[in-house]
Amino acid sequence: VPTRSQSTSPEDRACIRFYGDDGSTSLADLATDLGQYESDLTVGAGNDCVYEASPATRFNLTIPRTIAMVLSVAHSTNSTLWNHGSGSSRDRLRVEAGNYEYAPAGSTAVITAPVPAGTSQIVSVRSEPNPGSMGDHDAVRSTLEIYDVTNSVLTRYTATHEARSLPTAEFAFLAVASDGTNSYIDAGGECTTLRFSSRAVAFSEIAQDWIANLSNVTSDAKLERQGLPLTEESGVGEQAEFHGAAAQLAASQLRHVQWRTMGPALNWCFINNSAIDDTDHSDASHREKIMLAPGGDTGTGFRLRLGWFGVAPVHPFCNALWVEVLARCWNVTDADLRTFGLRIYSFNKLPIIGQQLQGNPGEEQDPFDYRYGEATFTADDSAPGVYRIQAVVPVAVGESGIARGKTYIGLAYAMDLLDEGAETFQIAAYSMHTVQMFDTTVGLPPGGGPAGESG
Amino acid sequence: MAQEFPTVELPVEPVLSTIVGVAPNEPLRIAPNRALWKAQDSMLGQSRRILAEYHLQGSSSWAVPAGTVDPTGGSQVYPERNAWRTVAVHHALQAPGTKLECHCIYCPAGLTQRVQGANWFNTGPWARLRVRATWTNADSVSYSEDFELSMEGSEKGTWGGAENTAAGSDWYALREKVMENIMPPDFETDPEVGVLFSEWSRVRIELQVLGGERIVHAIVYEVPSVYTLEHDDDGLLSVHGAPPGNPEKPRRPQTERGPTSGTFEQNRWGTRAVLRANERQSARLGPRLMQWAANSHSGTDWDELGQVPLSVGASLTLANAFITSATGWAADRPGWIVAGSMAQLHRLNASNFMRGRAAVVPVRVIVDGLYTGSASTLRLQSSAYEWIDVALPSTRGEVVAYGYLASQVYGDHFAGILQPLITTPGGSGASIYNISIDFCEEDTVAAFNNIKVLAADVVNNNAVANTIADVTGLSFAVVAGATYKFRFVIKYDSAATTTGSRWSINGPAAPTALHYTSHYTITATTETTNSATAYDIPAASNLSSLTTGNIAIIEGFITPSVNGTVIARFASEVSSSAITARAGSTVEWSRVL
Repeated sequence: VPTRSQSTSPEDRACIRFYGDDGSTSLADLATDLGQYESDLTVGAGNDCVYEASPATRFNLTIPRTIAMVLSVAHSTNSTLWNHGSGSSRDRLRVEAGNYEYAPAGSTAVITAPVPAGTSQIVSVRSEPNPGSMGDHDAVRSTLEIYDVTNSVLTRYTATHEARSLPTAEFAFLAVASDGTNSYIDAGGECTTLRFSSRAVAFSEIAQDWIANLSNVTSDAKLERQGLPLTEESGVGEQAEFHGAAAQLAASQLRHVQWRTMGPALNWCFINNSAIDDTDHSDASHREKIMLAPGGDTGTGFRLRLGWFGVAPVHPFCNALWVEVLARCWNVTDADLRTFGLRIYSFNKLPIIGQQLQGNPGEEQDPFDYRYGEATFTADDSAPGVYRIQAVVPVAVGESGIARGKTYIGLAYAMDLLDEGAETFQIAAYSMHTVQMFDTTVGLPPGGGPAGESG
Repeated sequence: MAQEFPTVELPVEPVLSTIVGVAPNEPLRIAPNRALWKAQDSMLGQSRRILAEYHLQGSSSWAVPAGTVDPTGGSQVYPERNAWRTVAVHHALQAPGTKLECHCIYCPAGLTQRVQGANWFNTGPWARLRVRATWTNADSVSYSEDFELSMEGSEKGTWGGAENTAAGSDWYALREKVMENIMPPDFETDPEVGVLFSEWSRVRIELQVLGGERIVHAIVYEVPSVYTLEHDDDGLLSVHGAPPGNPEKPRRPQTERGPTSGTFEQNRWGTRAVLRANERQSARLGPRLMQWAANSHSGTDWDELGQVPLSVGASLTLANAFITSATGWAADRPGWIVAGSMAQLHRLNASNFMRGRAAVVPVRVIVDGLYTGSASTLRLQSSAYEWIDVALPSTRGEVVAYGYLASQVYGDHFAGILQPLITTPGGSGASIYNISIDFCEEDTVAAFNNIKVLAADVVNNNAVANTIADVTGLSFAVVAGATYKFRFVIKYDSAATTTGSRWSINGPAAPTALHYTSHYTITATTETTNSATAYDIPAASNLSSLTTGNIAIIEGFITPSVNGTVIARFASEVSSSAITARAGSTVEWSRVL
């Protein structure tokens, strides 16, 4: 097995047991293994398929496994797309009576799904351990994903079933029928790309490879992407995923695990998203729940609402919140442009004058502290746009008493921030996300980061 | 859009705590190598995940009345003083060695009432919050316990219990309380208990309120506690920790020939233990991604029957459950964020797979809901390519599904906006009560217990004595050839102590195998017991009941030969003398073969 660089190319991944690409509509090209094994398949005698001529250990696997194909579909003819294995242990994907049929471990189909209308398609079958398995009968979860390239529509079907037995050596027949019936290519279809992987491949990865190549993500957030933990049963690792001395790896893994539970603080999609207007400050049905926000002016300043307020415990490594709010703001009266504002606050205790000064009985009197992220924008008339506000807000964390280790988060609004008109304004908030993160732009504290990173 | 920040200094001194003997957030820096070499027995004490919550969800008011109507009169205006109301039910995979706490922010409560004859009376302003937690471990051992806190009443208004009216006054009336030590009794002190629930318990958290609650936000979250190992086999454990029976929980480094080695598994020493724990945790430990409970805080949402679900009308296309005018998924619509960046798995998200531009996380979804009419599906979708379909049941129940959701790649990445979409082909609609989503590549309880709760009382008042009838709603679907374990727990009332009852089950015809027992009340100290291999056993009712506080338990196994529904059945011994199966009764079942 040659040493491959682990590039971002779809064919260079260590999990790939076979990768064929019919670059010039030649079956010889499709049979050429572009993956790490560089072990080609054989072109069928009828020039209608590619297959493994003798049992190959690289195909000796049951789950996890993903077989993905790029196809030009023959809708009307029954045929086999691939077989993995032989006899009673054979997995198979067929087109049958206008449906894709996936039949693991024998001939009984566990997934039957209509073949989409578009001719150009990507078809993936992913088989993996069933997380909720209650016995042998549902030990495996298989997912058939069909992407209609012509119409840009993805469909997904899932079933659980028992694991097939693993023979001593596996055959793989791709884009063929090993049972003497119509081969897929003879039936009028064409397979242009084959990929056989020894792990679960989510469709997002297939889409990144073959559909939509997303652009790079820019970030200031620390990321701890955990590698494959080494266990006492681990070998050298033909996928080259294990590195370094065991002790060093163990230390590294421990650090990764320490970050794993860092996630959302408040993750809210508001079921109550009716608009409020600027008169609600004085409306008896609202005013008692609206308070001038800290740092705001009395006139057009930012105001907090109880409906957009809550408390969250803070992960010990979190030093900031990435916040995102989806809201609409508009001038109801006319089309004049007016300035609106939204703020996300992080408080270290309840933001109530008096309470923030007194503290709770028997507790230390922590000084009141808060941070906020703010966005202002203009909105015009009653055909408003949707505003998505994103910011990184340093997190203010309580240090003692009931607030210890927690932050209080509130969404505040300001309508006609510059006091430019007497119109009626409205605002409606639809969702508010606050995600705990470690903002790397502020640098590490003296002595290193929370998990011992060097400063 | 401009972003402005106050010029403040960041708190760049995040700290790490351990479970053993150190309170949360106390400074204790553990560098990786030091952790490995010197603190083999220290616990991973970082988890502060919110597992359940109840809040206003944007509402401008609480559903309970503001206290301006006379509570004495011929009709009910305020919550009945004894009627607990369920406002959220969430499930979670609890991190090893953690216990739970509840933090509640609220305003002083509104009025309550009681009924006497045809009249309602004022029973004062007050409220209570209850956390009903049920832990189930990998051996299906369950323990349930209630934890409560009180919320004082408002002294305002003619009758008390009135809400504030001045600008901002509810803010100034805010109170907050914390309930600590939400865990099985003796979890921290009795190793025999601790060992049962230290390792990946699943917890079902039911939030209930009583009285005129004015809660702004109540959360139930994890805090580090203690982890207890049972050193009796070579099981796969996710944490290396202190052995039972040693209250000192020694923090010294352990050796392979530890103080109790020999017959014990060696979970407390060396890189092997760390790596094995990490390998297990990578498949189970991650952020709690979301929890949602239907509470609109409008109209009759404080109704004593419990939650008012989110209802979605008939739709052939995937209608957004929150924005009914929208169909399908779109990145710029509201939803919940899938904040799984820190739990990306190498096998799914290695930087050369999706180039750091996209990410997915494995999840477990539990949805509490139902459809009306024909079969309906709730789709939880977080990108153009990733979603999980959940087939809703015909009667209210909790459904489990597994799959992948698109996630943020980094904590400040705009991606992975989860939206709830419903399609009801041929149906008339669907109702959603609760949703819980956990990071999960391996579930922790193999035989997940499905549970269904009886939503409303069911009465058998048949004019013919001993006529058996369905407890409509207390049922579950079965398929031919599979084997199910089931347990009905039914609370019931009787019109008179001289009216007995019988309790049994019915199901698909000619089951291949059926074994069950039933137990139900005769008096406060006696019960009827049956063992049966056929439906509707026994044939006769017993001869007495309590008027309230009766319990019927039916449990066993069934292997049906045809598809169908298994349902609880009951009869009254006396003609036209009611036996009432009470709302809140449950059936739990799981497929075992």
